[in-house]
Amino acid sequence: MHLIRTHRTFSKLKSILLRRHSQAALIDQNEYTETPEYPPILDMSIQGRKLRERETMYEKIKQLNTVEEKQIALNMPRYYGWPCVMLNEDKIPYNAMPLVQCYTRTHFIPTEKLPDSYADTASTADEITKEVKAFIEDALCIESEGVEHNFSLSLEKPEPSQKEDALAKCIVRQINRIISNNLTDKVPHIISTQVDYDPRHEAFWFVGGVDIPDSVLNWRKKQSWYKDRLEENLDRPVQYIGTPFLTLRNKLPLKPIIPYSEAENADFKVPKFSYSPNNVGYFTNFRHGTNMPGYWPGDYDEFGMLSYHGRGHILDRKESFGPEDNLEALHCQAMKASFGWLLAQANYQGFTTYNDLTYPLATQTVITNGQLWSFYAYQLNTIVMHNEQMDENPKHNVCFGTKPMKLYDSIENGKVQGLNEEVLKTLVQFYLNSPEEREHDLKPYLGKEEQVVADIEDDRKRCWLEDRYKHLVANRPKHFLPPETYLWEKIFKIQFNLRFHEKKRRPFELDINPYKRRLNEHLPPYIPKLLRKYPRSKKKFENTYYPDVLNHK
Amino acid sequence: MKLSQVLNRQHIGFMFKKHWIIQGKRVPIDTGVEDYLKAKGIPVEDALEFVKEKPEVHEKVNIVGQYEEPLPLDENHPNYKAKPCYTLRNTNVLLEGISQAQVLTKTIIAEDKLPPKIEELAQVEAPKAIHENVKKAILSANVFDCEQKKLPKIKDPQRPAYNFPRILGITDRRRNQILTNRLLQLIEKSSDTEVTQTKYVVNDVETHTTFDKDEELIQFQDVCNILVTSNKPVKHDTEKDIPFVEIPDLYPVKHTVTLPMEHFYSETSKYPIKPSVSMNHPHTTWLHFNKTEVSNIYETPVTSNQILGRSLTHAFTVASAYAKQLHGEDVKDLPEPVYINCIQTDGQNYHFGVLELNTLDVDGNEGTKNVWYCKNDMKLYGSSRYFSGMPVLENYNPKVYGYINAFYNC
Amino acid sequence: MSTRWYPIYQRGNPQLRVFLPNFWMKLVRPLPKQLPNTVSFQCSMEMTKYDIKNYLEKIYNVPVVDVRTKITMGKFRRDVGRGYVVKDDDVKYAHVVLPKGQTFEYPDLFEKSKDDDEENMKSLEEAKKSFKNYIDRNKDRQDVPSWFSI
Repeated sequence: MHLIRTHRTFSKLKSILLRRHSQAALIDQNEYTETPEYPPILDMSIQGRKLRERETMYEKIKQLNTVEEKQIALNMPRYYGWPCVMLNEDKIPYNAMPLVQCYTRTHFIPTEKLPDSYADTASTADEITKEVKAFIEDALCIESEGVEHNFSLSLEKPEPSQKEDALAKCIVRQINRIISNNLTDKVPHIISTQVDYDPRHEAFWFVGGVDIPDSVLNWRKKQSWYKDRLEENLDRPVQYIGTPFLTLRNKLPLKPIIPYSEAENADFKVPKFSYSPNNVGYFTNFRHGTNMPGYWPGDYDEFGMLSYHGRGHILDRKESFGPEDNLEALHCQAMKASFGWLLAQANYQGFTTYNDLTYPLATQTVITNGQLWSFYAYQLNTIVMHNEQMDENPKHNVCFGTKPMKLYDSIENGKVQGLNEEVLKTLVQFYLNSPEEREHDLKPYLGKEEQVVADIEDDRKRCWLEDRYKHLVANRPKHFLPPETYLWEKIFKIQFNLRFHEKKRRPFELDINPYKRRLNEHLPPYIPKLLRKYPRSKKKFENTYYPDVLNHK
Repeated sequence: MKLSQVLNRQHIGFMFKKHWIIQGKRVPIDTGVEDYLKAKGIPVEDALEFVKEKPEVHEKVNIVGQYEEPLPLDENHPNYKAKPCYTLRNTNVLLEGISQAQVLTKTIIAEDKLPPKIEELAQVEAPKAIHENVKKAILSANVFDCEQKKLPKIKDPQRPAYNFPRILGITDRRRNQILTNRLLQLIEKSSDTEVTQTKYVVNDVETHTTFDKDEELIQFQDVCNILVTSNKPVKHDTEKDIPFVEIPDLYPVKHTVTLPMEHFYSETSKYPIKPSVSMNHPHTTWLHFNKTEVSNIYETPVTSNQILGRSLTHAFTVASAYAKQLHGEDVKDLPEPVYINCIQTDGQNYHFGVLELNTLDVDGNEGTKNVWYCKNDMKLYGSSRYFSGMPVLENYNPKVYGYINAFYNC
Repeated sequence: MSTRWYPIYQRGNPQLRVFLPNFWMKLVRPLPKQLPNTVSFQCSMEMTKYDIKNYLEKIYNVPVVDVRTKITMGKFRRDVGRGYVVKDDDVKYAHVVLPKGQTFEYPDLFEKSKDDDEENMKSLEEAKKSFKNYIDRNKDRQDVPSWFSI
């Protein structure tokens, strides 16, 4: 023991000596240059320093190798999850369009027919429509009259909307079956397309430029250093959750609808919506941000082609909202669903809400109840819209959408009356739109060898990350209850100092905000002494492999 | 003297008890008012006379709720019958498995034998791309699907009280749904358009059949997870001189054992597709075996023999419901046999069967019998899951796809 | 609508009484940043969303699209003089959404009093000025009483 200690002090001494020496040598070499070299001038105001801190974090997230690590990294700052604005697919309050457009940064173009890029498939679509028409008529009849379905209804939603959705789901499955069976011989991409029933779609991103909540404003008014930046905006985390009836996805991405250069077109500018979302009727919920396009990272078919959604929720809306707002609600649903799905796909390509897409992605969305069909084509150009980028980012997303159109007028005595071929043709054109190989790198921000966690060599790290990621995105309740300030504490300890004689132990008395706890601030699993490495290992806790993206406190 | 007596003297519970006993028998104190009133000539009436009348019973108000309330299950229920009916649902299994199913449906079995046409078609090699897609389907059903729901509790028989952390993952219901639908889609895509146009696919439809056996009423209620129908009935050429497994004697077990009796049932059978539909002839029915949903009525685990029995009863349910729709409720021997293909799977194991329904008269063991050709326990893959953080698919068996394809195309 | 008891008539009481309904709504100043087509009210606790909608539509002919209600907790304060903590009553707020095009601006209630304020301020200024003049004038003879002048 004695020996070791002397040795240690000696080595320390040596290193100090050496360092001084080497530093001196360094100065000698580089003391003079031809032109004077100044260090960069940094903005040393508090905003400047904070901005630099955030930017280093974004850069660190960009440097991470695998998809899962990036997803964990997005959630690193919050142990109890983000207070997310919940954009559910089927909950659309009155007059939500401006908010949805701003939050998804989408310019909406109402059209009667599909955009120009679909023009060259029109003639083939006509032929196919003629071929499948009779079969689709049959299927419509059979589904609505010929088969006895037993839909299991839940008590959580009103009955008519559930019934409509259930029937629409059956019809959509039949129509998808008929069209894709017909097309397999004619177009090559259909056979390799995967069809998902009721996949889980989730997406998470940050939106800047939103007014701060009153509670934050009141808090800031009390802090002296916030005097000149009371109204400074914060990033708002947003979470989309939806379940389409059916999706098609493919190995290759779809062609962009409009050229990528058009993304910066000033005509597509979306008006900013700075009111807080609970003004409109969207509310927040604490959860970890999740990005999920219906499959785990590592699946082969990563790019969406087409998704079908239900419109049963329109029946649950109040009558006073009126038909005009119901139409807007459909557009909102389409924008949310398309943006959410594409964003989740983009996340699997290694982009996050902090690192922008380098190429456009496209998808097609159909909203239907079996009879009424509306079609949307969506192009995702940008996914960054956090505080710094909200005003500066010149790119916008574009969504083309039609009004709901009737596929048929009515079904009488087992016969479909007045089948609208135009609607069917549009749908066929969506199927004919073939994905294409892109010339650029699809995953520029992912590692060369390691792109998903399954590629990692180190067994422990791989298992740990896989486990942690699945646990995080499951959003299952924490083992311990989240921290809470009880009402009596708020009254007698915070508002009126009536219990001054008590020891100060609670977080608010120690000036700690428990919700600012970071994801990695917990004890790792304990290694029992029996299991430690043989000749006395002092290591008490197992390794954790959290991505190191946060700035040190 | 006992110490407890001293202690109990101050026992508050004891005190309360005594107090209640005393207070419970209170006698009203005679205040002398009654006598006084009588002396004055004022009649005194007993107070109990006034409370004799029972309070008025109000009629139950029908509240219009969001949902229709289900009718109470009593004798006024429209489906109530005095005669009980032995009911087999798709969540229940027969105690004796395949042998009990044989007795109930009066069926003889051709073990490990399928009609020659199917065997022939099954040997046709599928292109490699198809097998790749099948592997993709298996992986996406077992590994890549995003569902995270609670899986059944893990129990260790060595230490039954130990609580393991609950794992979230893909439930067996969803896994089977994805896998079977994907397989069917693949087959349809690789078949000719002319073939697929003559077929129709429905998901999750109910079939019921009710029949008499030895003076007892029996009903089967089943759900076809996928029902493939076609525009003309399936026909199979059958071989003669196959060594059939004859109907066994179950003694001492009765054939209705573990079938719960029900009083609420309808006597008519139900085939989910109406006769007006042109493609209403059942072709292939897919049955899922979801381990979390199917169980014995007692707590014993489901055996492989019981699973096989499930296939037979299921095929019989669909075929007889169809036959009854075709020939009427009281048909006994069918003019020509009804064939139906049946595939049961728990995702990994596939049990193929073809039922030749000759008669609906299932009394006794004599006379015309139904025939069940089957080929059981074919494994599609060895294992498919996340193994130490990596998606794994082991021991893929390409033969199974051949059979499924043959079933669709026969 | 009123659930109040009609008190037994005693001689000398007024013969006619006015009973206010249980349902009342009070227009309040909206939050600093609120959509222009929403109006905030305080209302009685018993009112449901449907009551609020009917109240506004049937009595005031206000087109109502949507109603969101919220019950906020009353403030805690120290009782004056005694020092206990007491709690004020809870308040039900109703945020009423009007159709898309319509806007609502909270009226400036004290427009008139603003003029009064200005006038008051003016006279105060004048008084101040004259006082200052007086001080200036008597700068040199500080100890002399004000009545001792020419």
